[in-house]
Amino acid sequence: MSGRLSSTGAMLLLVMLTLGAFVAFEFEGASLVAGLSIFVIALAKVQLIIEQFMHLRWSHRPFRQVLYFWSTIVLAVLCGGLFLIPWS
Amino acid sequence: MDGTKITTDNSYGAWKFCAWNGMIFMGVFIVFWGIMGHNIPPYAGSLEAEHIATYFRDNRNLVRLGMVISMTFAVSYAVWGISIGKVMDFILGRDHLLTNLQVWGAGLTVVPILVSSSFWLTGSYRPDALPTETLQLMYDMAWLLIDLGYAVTSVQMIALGAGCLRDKRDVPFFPKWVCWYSIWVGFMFTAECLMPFFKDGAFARQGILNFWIEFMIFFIYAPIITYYQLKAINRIRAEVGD
Amino acid sequence: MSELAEVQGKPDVGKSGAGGSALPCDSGVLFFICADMGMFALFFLLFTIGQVSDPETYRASRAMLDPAIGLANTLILIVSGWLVVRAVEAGRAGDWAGARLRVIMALVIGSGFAFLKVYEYAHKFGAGITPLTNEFFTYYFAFTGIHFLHFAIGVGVLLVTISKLRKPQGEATLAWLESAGAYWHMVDLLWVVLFPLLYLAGGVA
Repeated sequence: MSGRLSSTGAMLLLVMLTLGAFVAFEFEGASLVAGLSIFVIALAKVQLIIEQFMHLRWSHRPFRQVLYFWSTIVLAVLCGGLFLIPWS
Repeated sequence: MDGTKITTDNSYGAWKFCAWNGMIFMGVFIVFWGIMGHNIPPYAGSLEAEHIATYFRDNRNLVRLGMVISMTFAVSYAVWGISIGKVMDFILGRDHLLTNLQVWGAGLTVVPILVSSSFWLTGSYRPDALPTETLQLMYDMAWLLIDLGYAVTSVQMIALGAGCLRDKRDVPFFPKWVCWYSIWVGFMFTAECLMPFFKDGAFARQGILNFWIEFMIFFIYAPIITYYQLKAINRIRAEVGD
Repeated sequence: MSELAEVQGKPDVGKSGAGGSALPCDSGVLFFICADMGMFALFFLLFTIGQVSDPETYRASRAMLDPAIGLANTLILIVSGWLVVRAVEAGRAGDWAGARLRVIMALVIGSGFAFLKVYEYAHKFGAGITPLTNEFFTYYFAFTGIHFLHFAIGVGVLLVTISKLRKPQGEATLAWLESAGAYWHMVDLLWVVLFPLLYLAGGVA
């Protein structure tokens, strides 16, 4: 992700990603692909908030790494869970 | 801060002994209340009364001994809290509100531990004469009290964290993360409010959140605080002198 | 000098952060945030395990939620978070009045989250849905409730921030503003995961 995104640009991106996830749900709600896309989008938003809103892209290296680790684990858990439930 | 103005009490040995009471409490709590009393983990809220009655009847002497020792040493928590209060005096000055809250919080923590242990003790006192439902009642009461007594300990933890964050030393007695850990644990305890509504699952008394996580963060709390507390006492001794 | 400081053409503003950081956001606050997020990661795991063991109940229950409210709440928190970032930027530039105005706006917009959440809870209770209805709703009420507690504390923190910005004291106020902002972003960030988890992904029946 861009290191020099302005905070307004980051906000607009977050809004678009949110709407994108919602559209994926509305049109492809009950599918594995939609579910996976929705979680990937959510974790992309988490990265944007950590880097651009909390400004951790530029500082607090140990905490940034902890939060990256957190995002990876959460994404793995959420997506892994979707693979384990039946889809028609 | 000029330490000599804070107190003329230089009984560092006694002070350190009181600090070690935190560890004594935790050790006793885990071994006698937890292992001997069969409380790590608790019996599920969803179990039949018969199950709980069998626990009291088959383990009466173990539970009695566990609870007797647990009740004897419950007061160690207060002793520990008072000695933390003395370190806080050297951070905040004498008679600071946050120090008082910390001391009172630690002191009052003794009450739910003492009283709930007495319920387990009562259950194991004459388990053959008591009906099974009464034994279940004793067990439920004990767990409801020890879990829902969290707020007094939260007062201690949050006051300790908030107070020690005000340390202006270059190297504070308690590092920032320890202070925030203290605040966080005190805050996290509020999840115990969910416990009475569930007999199964993560929020029940035996659940992953309301037992395993909550008690684990509590079990490691005293060792962390005591470690930095003992270091602080040594530093105060060096600052103030004998 | 940090990348951000270069971008803004400003010297480093403080040294209190961990890892030799140039930003004053308090490392202790970040520790608290990480600990809290660890707890929520456990919540997400619990929910996932529950959903895997009983997907039909979860899908049927999810169908009873209104995703439009969840969507509105997500957008509210994003915009409110953005206003807090703008406030931090103003604070760094020494524009304390501008920072204060933006925090007030963040609070006003953020309070929409509370209105919608209360409406949603009232609607659920009115329809006879409680935390004891099934496991999905246990988690729904517990997780959103604990999140709401974080939100409420965040509101308190922003109120204190507004009061502190009235009489700013340089570095200390900036550190407070940054730390309060980081906490507010955590409230935002957790909702960003809770919303798809509870309302969207996993399917509806």
